[in-house]
Amino acid sequence: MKSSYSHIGVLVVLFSCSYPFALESIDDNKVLIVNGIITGDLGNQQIELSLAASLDTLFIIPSSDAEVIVTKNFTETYVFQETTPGIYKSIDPFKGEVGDQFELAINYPSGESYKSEVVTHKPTVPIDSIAAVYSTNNDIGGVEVRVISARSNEAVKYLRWTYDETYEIKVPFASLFRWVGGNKAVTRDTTERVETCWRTIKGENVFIRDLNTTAVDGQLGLPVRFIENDAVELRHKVSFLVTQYTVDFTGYSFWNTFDRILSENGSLADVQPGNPVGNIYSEEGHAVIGYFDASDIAQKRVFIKPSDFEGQFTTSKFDWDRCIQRKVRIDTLGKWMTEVGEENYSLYRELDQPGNPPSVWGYIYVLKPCGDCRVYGTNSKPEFWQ
Amino acid sequence: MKKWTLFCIWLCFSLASYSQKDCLEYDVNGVQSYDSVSLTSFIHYLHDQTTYKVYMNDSTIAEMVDQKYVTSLFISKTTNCIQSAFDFFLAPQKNVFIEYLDEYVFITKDVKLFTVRESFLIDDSEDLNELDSGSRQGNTGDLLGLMLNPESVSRPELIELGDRALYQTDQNVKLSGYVREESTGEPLIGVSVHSVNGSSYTTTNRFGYYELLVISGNHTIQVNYSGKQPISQAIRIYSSASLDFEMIEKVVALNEVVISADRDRNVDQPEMGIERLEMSKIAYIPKVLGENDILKVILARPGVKSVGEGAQGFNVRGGNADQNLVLFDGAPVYNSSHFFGFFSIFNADIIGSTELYKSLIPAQYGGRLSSVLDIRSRVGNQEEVAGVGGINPISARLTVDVPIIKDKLNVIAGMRRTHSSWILSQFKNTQVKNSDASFYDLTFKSRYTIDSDQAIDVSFYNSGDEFNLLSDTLFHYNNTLLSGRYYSSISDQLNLDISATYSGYDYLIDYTEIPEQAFQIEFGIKELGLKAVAVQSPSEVEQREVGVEFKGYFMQPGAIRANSDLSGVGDFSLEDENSLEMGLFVNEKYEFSSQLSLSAGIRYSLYGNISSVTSQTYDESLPLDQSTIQDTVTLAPMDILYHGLEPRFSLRYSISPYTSLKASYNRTRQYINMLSNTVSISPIDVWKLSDEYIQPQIGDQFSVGIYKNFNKGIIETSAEVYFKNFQNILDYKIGSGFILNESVETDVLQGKGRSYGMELLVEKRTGKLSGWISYTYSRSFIKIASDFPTETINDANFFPTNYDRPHDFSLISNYKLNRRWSFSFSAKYSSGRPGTYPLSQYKLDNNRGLFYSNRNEYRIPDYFRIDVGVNLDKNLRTVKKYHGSWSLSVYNVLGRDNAYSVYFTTTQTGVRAYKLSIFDSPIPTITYNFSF
Repeated sequence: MKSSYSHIGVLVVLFSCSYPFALESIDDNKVLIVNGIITGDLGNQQIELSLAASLDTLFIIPSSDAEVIVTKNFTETYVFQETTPGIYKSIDPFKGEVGDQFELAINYPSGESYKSEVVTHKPTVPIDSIAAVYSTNNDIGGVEVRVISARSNEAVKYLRWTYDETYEIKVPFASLFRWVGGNKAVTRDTTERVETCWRTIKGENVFIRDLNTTAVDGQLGLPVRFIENDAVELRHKVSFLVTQYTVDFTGYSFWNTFDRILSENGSLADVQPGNPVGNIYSEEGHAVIGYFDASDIAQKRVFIKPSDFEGQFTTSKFDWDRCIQRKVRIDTLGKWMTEVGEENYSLYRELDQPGNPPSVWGYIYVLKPCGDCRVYGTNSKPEFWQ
Repeated sequence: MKKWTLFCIWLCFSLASYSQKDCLEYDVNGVQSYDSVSLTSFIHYLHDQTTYKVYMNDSTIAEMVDQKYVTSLFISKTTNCIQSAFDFFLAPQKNVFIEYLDEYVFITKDVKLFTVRESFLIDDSEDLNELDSGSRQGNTGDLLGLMLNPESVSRPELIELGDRALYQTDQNVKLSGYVREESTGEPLIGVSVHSVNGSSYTTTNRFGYYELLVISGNHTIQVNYSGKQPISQAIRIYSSASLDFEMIEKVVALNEVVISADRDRNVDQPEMGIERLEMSKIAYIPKVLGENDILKVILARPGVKSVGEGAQGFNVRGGNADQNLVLFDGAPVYNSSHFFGFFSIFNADIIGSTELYKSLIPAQYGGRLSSVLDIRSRVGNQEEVAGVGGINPISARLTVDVPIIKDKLNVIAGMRRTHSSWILSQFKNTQVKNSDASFYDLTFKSRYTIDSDQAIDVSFYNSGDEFNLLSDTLFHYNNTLLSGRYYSSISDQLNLDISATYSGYDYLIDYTEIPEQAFQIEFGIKELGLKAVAVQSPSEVEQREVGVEFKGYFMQPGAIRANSDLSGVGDFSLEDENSLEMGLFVNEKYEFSSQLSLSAGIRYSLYGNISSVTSQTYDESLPLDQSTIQDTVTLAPMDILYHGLEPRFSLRYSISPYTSLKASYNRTRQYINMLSNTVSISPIDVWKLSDEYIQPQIGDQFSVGIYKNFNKGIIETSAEVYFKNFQNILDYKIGSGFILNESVETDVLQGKGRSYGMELLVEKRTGKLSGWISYTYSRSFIKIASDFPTETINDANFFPTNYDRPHDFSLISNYKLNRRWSFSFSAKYSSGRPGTYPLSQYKLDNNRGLFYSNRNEYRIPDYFRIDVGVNLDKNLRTVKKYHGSWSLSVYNVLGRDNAYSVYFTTTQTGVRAYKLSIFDSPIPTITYNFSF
């Protein structure tokens, strides 16, 4: 329903003129963002801490140097250590079991301290399946990915999902040679292959359902992603890993409100702006947004290939037009590479000079996006990739 | 032309005599001499230098004597010298008379002026008529032509009434008759008729009829009515007899607001916080897009604000826009704006009277917390076909009065419509340029006078607005009002007023751009009303009002359907809501003495559902949320029931004839709410009736005020302070939205409200320069507290409401250069309204969220605007049937880009803030107005 009337939003803007408006400086406004969940899988549990950034930047500011402690059932404490900036992992592996009670405490050297409410570890239900269905959205065809979970446990009232999306990327002129300085290039070894890469992105949007009112066990399930049929993700193969958590009413309320306020401002159909009420509090009254939870998780991975939808749509092709092959002589390779920048071009293949034995005349080079898939992702094949 | 008009020269004084030695001797300071001085230049001199006022009834007087020059004029400050000077000029003129009264000098030709108790009475009305038409042809250009407005027209001819044969001394006899408007024959209601020497008093009823008990013998009957020249008539009455009066407009030709008879009304009336507005007051305020607008005038009065330019609705004394009961001929109006608030829906040519109650709301009105705006259409011309209209680049209007059966049945029909999207073509944005917006309205009013005691009014109104924006989304909204009213004067003391009303408001949003998503959203509300009021006046000092009112609300809160075969939008409709509100009321006005009067009333209101309602039960340990619904139940009619008493009091104590103190208390209840998280009423706001969860709003207001008039009532001043307490006023949960919301109660929060303020007004209604200055300081707060954090806002502290604008200053002024030209100037300043701003942004689970300030913690920039206007009357001869005038106005002459709101857009690179400005440049409009 929400999307169907979102078009009416522009109305006010139309009758009027808009001018950029400078907001008051809010430099001293520090807001801690907390996201963490204790799962039922034994391992190093993870808490993410970051700070809100000013309105004109999009950086995530990791919040470092915090002392992060999770208390289990009011007795066992687990200390977390910052492994990468803003990411804290428990030093000792542990897990939650249904009914366990957890509490999060965050302390900074400056004296600020934050605490969560006590959360109870919740069971979850298995994900039945992840379906990929061809459909149209706004007249454009594509593949819709849906999560289907059965409600098999009455204790599970609210579910939340996140997903990771990994897709394969191939470049048409995969670089076989690597410049090593001067007028010298070497053949890439197998670990340096740059023809096929994989890119993983975390899914956007909040997926949360009250199972009492919205079933996700039917054929429709819960749509989490729509990939247009000419998108790069569908060109070769794409994989989804869907993770499902159980939340309680407070968690549902937090994530649901967060979802509702994500819509843009400045329209007549606006929702009331404000901050979602989470379960982390500052004892000194500092601003904090976030949620700490404990739940079993269910995960499922699915692979989607265009061939699964044979005949239903055609995928897009790599844009070859911009992949012009040019030559560079070996005696000018170093100078040329220095001038244009190694980061912009890659050496596709070697050109031999006739002779006995034949010598290297030079190289064919292409724009890096045509010859090095690492521009898009990583060339180390994910373990799960089939 | 029957009006007695005198040309007045307004002079300031430190003068004068001419060559008389005495005067020269008296003069010590500032002696000046003129080589050659005519009467005209002498008067001009007085005007420039003194506070004296010189009135002439005919410009030819000056011409007659202007051949006469003094060679040496010596100026003194003594009155003797001024009189000597005038004597010099006027001495040989046999038919010219001169009278002095304080600093007023009256020079009349052919007619003698005399004074009675500071009123200027003329002894021969017939002559005056001739004088008037003669004077109008005179050239007033070089005389500063301010018209003298005589405070009373006397009819000194003694009229003998009744049958001399039946005469007995000291016998009670009845004088009765009608009071009508002279030019239209329209009955005048509420005209005071009293015998000066007999001290008996009455007012005309709905039909303009009066009955006055007097003792047989000689009397002077005084007839007074707001905006009309009072009549003073000497009679000798032998037995019961009838006498009709025809009252004439005061200084109509000048088009000024002259309300002499109404002077001191602000001081005298027991009620407080009432704004009574005449259309003539509207006429000189700069027009917006060429239209006179009653709501724009109301917004310039103290205590009335809007959330922003172009915003629909208005806020009275810290109340929400939905807390105003707007009535047109008794029928409630749900959306009082055209074109998103740029025009009000009321055609100014049809409006008769407008009253805004902002302190004491009389007990006969109920259902809204903050104010009642009661707009009545006028009664049509009873005598002849007449019309009024105007045209400007955007719209045209025409209203015609047709008497069908003379003095029995007449109708008025008016319409307005836009004929171009000129305003949209002014925008640079091509998308806006290619958009379309239009509206129309039709108003019809008819009165059938059954007899001298009974009449029936029928009034019909219909309007439609349409916006076609970006050529993909169409908005339509319609107002339809119908009312029938029966008046009857059962006896001298008892009047009955019964009315039935219908009001319909609906809107429709049509989206067709993408056929697969094409949809139509509808909302509609209908209100049926029935009201009966009996007004009893047992004595001159007592008036009692008793009545009953029923209101039926029939609402379709929202429906969506596919409007294309391809559309995948599913049909969905919210359940209809139908409720009944009943009010019983009684009000008593009593004048204990000339110093002390009281108005006390009480209203009992009862509200309930009249159709079955599907309702949810929620888990009581959790906040109301769709996910905490436990069960769905069906409530039978009247299962939802609210009721309560609403006392209303007002007290006046007069310290002097020109000064009074007033105090009032008011309780009001409201059973219908407008849901909106955009801050003003917009066409897609949703109304919601009180239900099991949404409790009725209750408001209590205490106010006190002091009213003082200066300069014989010419300058009115007032200061009022108020304090209001609200219960159950609405605010909304974070993330809430209301379109097609099935369980509104899960998104609505109710809490306490508190507002207080002070209103200051200085107003000058008459004279060359007229207008008012008002300043309002007002605050409005709300507190939303709950056991659940998600149902608490701003840590359960009081915070400013969306419409809290502490400072508000309005200046409205009109300067009448002469009878042809007038200029208007108005200025408006107000504090910016509060808003909730994003302060920073963050990422949570790969979603970018905005961190917001506390609710309404920030304010948009202050608002300031100046408008100017000029009006040119094409012909001044009122004997001519056709009358035309041009008016040029410039709205926002400084071209300030005042902020309507501040909004935010999220882009790839961050969040941008924008100030939204409705009119960011001067908007000139020229309008041609006519009447026939």
